[in-house]
Amino acid sequence: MTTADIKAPDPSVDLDHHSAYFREHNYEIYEDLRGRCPVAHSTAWGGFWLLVDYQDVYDAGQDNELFSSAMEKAVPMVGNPDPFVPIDTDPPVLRQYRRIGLPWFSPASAKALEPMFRELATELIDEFIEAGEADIVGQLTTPLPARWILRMLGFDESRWREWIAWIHATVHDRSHDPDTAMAGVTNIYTNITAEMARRRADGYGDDLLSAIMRGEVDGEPLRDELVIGYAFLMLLGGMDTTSGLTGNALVRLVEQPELRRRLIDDPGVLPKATEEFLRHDTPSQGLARIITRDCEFKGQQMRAGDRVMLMFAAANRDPKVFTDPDRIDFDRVGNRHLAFGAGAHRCMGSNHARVMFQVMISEVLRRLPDYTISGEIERFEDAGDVYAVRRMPIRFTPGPRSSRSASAVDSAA
Amino acid sequence: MKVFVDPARCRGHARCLSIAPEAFEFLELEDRSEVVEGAVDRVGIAVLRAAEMECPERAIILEISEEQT
Repeated sequence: MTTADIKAPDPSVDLDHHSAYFREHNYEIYEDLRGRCPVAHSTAWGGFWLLVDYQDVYDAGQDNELFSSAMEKAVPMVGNPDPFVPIDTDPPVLRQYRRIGLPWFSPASAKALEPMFRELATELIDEFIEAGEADIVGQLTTPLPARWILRMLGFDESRWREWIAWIHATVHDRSHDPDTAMAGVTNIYTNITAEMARRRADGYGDDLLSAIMRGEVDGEPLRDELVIGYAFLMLLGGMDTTSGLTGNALVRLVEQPELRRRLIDDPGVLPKATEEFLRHDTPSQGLARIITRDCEFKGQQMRAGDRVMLMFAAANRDPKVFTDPDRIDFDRVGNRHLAFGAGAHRCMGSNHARVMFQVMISEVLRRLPDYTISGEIERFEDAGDVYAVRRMPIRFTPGPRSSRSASAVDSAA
Repeated sequence: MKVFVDPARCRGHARCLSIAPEAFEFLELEDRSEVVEGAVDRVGIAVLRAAEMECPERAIILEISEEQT
């Protein structure tokens, strides 16, 4: 029997991945779809396909000719007039765009930054450690990655709250409050443009924005619009997803105290735990592609111009690939999760995300190991792009400020 | 035994570097890993197999001769 002989199921489903229902039931929805219709078609947002099986998501990520990343792919469509490079491009030019940023994101550069991340975490925890309570997401997991990416771009990191508000509006309000999202986008464009003007006036520095401005593709510098898009993408990737992963994991460590105990007793398991949290509590639920020609994919007829969501979070819970997929198992063997995607668009910030996550988790467990949730956990209402905690009130036994930062204050006085 | 990273498959996830830093090196601008010389002697087959099993792109190829299995 060939695949053509197998009758494909009716792909129509009623599903909006930006809805509150999706946020609360995403993994049930994935499991249901996997059982009856792993290549599903939703009528929401003008229609789009969803892939939930690991192999399908993986295959689509590898086939850039059929599953293109051209900018018209987003569900819903985004209003920006120019592509965000590199994510809105396909090979071979994709590779040239990535090369501009790659040295800033290598495994070695992430490792070299670990002491800086730890210093930042120490400083942030010092601000609330004596109080015995905090919003751990608002006061640690949000500012740490945000300040890092602003510092790397050469922007004023003391303005991280403004940048975060714009980025959160861009990501989390775009489906239900496009005006707020657009205001966020406008602020980001304006401020990146001002930073570019400053470099043109005062000279380039040793920062990522200068590197993007001086980068070349096909021997030509990037148009200003593409520089802005590149910097915007770095802010999107840097500010939202790592905090999402860390917040998701901090919730799990309350729900499952045995996991917390294990991390405290056996800190060497943290790298494996990192991969398991990435798999089980994937922040970037999915990313879109656009079909380039009429085709049959896993028995379904797709047409040129159709949009497809590659649901990484669903793939990461596929029981055909992961034994007991809904269980968090730090000792899992063969954890080939797709939290950072797969193929030519693998997340450029993955190395930094891992190190920042590990620094934040280990510092929380070192300095406030008995934290409990003291109020309502608030999630971002729209989990369709990034599944993340917005606010997580915690209580813990108060502790002393770190001597390191205390001496820094003394010497500054 | 032979071990190598398929340059056409590797996408620079760097999982292998975290599992066996003595056995792999990273080519920054190529965005991919390579096996260092003498990796098998340095870390042993079990560690290389662990790296192979965690690679999301299935880019690590282990060729194990019969007497080693």
